[in-house]
Amino acid sequence: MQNLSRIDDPTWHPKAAENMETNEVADGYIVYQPGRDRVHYLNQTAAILLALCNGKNCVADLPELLRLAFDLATPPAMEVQDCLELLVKEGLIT
Amino acid sequence: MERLQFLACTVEIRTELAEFADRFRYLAQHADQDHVVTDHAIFDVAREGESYVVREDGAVIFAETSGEIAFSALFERIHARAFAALSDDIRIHAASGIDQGRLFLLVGNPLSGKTTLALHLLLEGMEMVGDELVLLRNGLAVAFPRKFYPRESSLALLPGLKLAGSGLPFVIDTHGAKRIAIDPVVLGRPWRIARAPVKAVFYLDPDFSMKTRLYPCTKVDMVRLVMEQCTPPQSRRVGWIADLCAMVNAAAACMIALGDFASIAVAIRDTLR
Repeated sequence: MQNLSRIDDPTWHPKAAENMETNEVADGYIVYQPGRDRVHYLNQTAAILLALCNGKNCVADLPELLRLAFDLATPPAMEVQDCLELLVKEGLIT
Repeated sequence: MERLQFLACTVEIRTELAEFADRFRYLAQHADQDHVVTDHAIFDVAREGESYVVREDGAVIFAETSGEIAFSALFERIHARAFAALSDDIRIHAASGIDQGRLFLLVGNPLSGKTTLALHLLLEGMEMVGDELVLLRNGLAVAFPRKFYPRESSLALLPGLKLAGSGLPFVIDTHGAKRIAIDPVVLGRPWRIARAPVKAVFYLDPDFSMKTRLYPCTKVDMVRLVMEQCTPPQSRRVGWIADLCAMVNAAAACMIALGDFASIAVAIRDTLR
């Protein structure tokens, strides 16, 4: 069971899980986890968020980084929250 | 004796049973194949007592009292042997055609209309090379050589297909449907099979009550849809998913909401341009 409460911690520095095979296509990532024999299909937002989960960015920074990436008017805080939850549930970030 | 090529595997079928010789007309294809051959198999079919006994390279692989079941099992075994000779290839359920030296795929579930659409496009003058299966390795795809097997009930959708009195071989499939074996060469069309890059991937989403529509599909969604219709390589080689992703990424990706056939050939040609 993944620890979902971590996404409520603004100081957490999420990091992409190890041993993943990440394949980039024009509008997202296809991520394969050999250990679980599982394939994940990430749209552009999820793909960028996963790329930003490099252990250097904390949760509090992610909405602003997404705003800059997509040239948005306001930081997409809710979308980031939902997406992080998904990535944690699927074991793609730790 | 019948000698056939299935890409990397050649197959020799030996029997003196007249009823089996007739069934082989259903299986036999003579597509012109540009492929290196690495395996050769010999199948012997004989009647021993009440049973049809099938040997592969001299060893009995099964004995069956029903000729239908024996033929069906042999058909599957020959294909399995051919797939084993290409153990690094991904298998994708797709009809396929060639346009300017590159392949286009019509991917879809069983009963999505792949065979009927492939025959329709063939009659519209496009070079169709397969109705069911495509193999992919290192960015190059190839149609698996087998005849086109439409259900008799779908031939009404192909008024240009003149088969009356042609005596084409058929079987009754496990769903009770009559399936006719059609060789593109019989229709006066070329049938050349070779590996080529993929130009476009179309996914068939049938809705036969509607007018046909083509619309773009994201690459992520297309990879997901194609993955659902593929069998990983038998070797489980590292990087096969990357291979599939690269193929889809380099190709045009379109959904076909398949309804009527009135304008589909024009729409597909436009996309391929």
